[in-house]
Amino acid sequence: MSEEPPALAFKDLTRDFPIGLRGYKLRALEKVSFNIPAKGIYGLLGPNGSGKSASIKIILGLLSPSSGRCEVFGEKAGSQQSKKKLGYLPENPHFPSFLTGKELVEYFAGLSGISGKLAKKNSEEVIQLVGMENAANRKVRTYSKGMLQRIGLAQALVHNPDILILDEPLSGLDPEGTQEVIDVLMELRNKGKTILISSHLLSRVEEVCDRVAILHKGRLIKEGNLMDLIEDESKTTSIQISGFQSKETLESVTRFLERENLEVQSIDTIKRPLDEVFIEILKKDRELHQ
Amino acid sequence: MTLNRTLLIAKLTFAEAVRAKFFSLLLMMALILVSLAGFFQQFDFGASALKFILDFSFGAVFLLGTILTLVMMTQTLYQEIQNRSIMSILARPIHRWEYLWGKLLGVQFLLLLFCLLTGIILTGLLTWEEKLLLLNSTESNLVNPGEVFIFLGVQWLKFSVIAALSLFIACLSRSSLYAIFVSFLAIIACQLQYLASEMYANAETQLGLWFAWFLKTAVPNLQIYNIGDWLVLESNKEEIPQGTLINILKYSAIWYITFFGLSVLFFKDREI
Repeated sequence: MSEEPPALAFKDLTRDFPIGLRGYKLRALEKVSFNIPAKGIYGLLGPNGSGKSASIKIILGLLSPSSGRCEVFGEKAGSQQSKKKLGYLPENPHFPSFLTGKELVEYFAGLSGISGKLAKKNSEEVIQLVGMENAANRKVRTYSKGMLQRIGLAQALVHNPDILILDEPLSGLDPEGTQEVIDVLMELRNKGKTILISSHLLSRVEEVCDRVAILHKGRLIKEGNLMDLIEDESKTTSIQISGFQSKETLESVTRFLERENLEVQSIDTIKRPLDEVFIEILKKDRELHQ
Repeated sequence: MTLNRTLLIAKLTFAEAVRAKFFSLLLMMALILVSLAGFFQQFDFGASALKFILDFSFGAVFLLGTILTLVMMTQTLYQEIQNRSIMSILARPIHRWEYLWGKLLGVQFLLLLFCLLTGIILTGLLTWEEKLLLLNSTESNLVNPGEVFIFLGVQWLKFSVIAALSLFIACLSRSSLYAIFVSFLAIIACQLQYLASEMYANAETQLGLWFAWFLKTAVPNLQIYNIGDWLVLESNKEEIPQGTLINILKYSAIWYITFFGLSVLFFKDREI
């Protein structure tokens, strides 16, 4: 039985950008090789100028590699067959402001070769999936950034692609908007989609990614399971314990750890992150006013 | 499927362009200039008064239509490149030539609307002026107002060729301002193409002959579209050479396909 190809495969991928007339070249990607398995959320991480955007453009067929190969489920990236399997949401998406959310999603369905009743049905389904059914008939210009991002997700999903490519999907969103997008991504992961997220917002990506690749100056410097990667790079293990009623209990835990030859380096009271508290307050307020 | 996708892009391009303030401004200017054409001339008698209205209106339509074509064709492409919405479109199973053709058709729809609206105003004006002039004349018919639409159809063909030329230059360029500027120079060259034909006919050296032949062949002649007087004025009606309209149609098709083909060629591997 033949092995199923990975969702995305980079094979010795190199991309040079010529600068000026003298033939100087800026290397955006240098012999990058790794596979992205099907199903799950994959993070493509790296600082600005690391080669994330070039990689995404090559996957989408918007840029051709100088050498090497990129494949989408075994098909050459950029081919019409490979594009059918991809859904894409650009960073800070811009859509025609005079269209309603529903018209926008139906337009992209049409571009993907879906028309008539099927386009309407698919559009309604994905609009519901991203939680935009109440605003679907409003003009895009009236949408907030979070809503734009969600309708952008809907247009990327309308042709039921196997792989979803998201360029900085959480950039510029408020904590509530971020949580809404994350919720949609988790739901899509549960539905068996492969999601590739390009981002430099590491703390939020960490929450959702199963595997990551880290690019730096066009080179792949780390790739693998997120938890393994964090463990490999961590020299200390942190245990968070809640519910201490007295100082004595804490002291007895410390003595136990010392008996086990474990060094307690610090004891801190951990505050909950503000965005978590913020979302919690909003949630309570919404429940109160429902 | 190809036609569906292309028409979808064309429809959206048209819908966006028709909402653009620049289009409204030029359309208003064209309509005002055509409406006021009668006030800009000294009425003498008969055909010369109408000829002035025709020349003035056709001049206004050509000038404003050309500016509209250059700017809208370039802007519609560069706007999507700059705000990156082109990425969401080209990431779909859609060929780049389908996208470019959709953009070109969208602008052509816009130009059709421009020609249609100016045609309605001009026809009304000509009919009105003719009525006034015939009060003091024994002649039965001075103009063919209906032929205004045929002439504006010919102008639409010219604008379509200019749009395809602008698209080609936009595909070669890296900024919209540069593309508009170069397109404008190209239109001037096309307006003066007849000089190359004259140079070819009178060339004295072999080098001069080749150079003139190159210019004559590589640049379309926009003067061939200037048949307004022949079409609309009754006094000139019999002067139209037979098959002129068919020849203009063929000529336009050849240049439209050539410029569109070149656009596709240069846009095929362009980094988005």
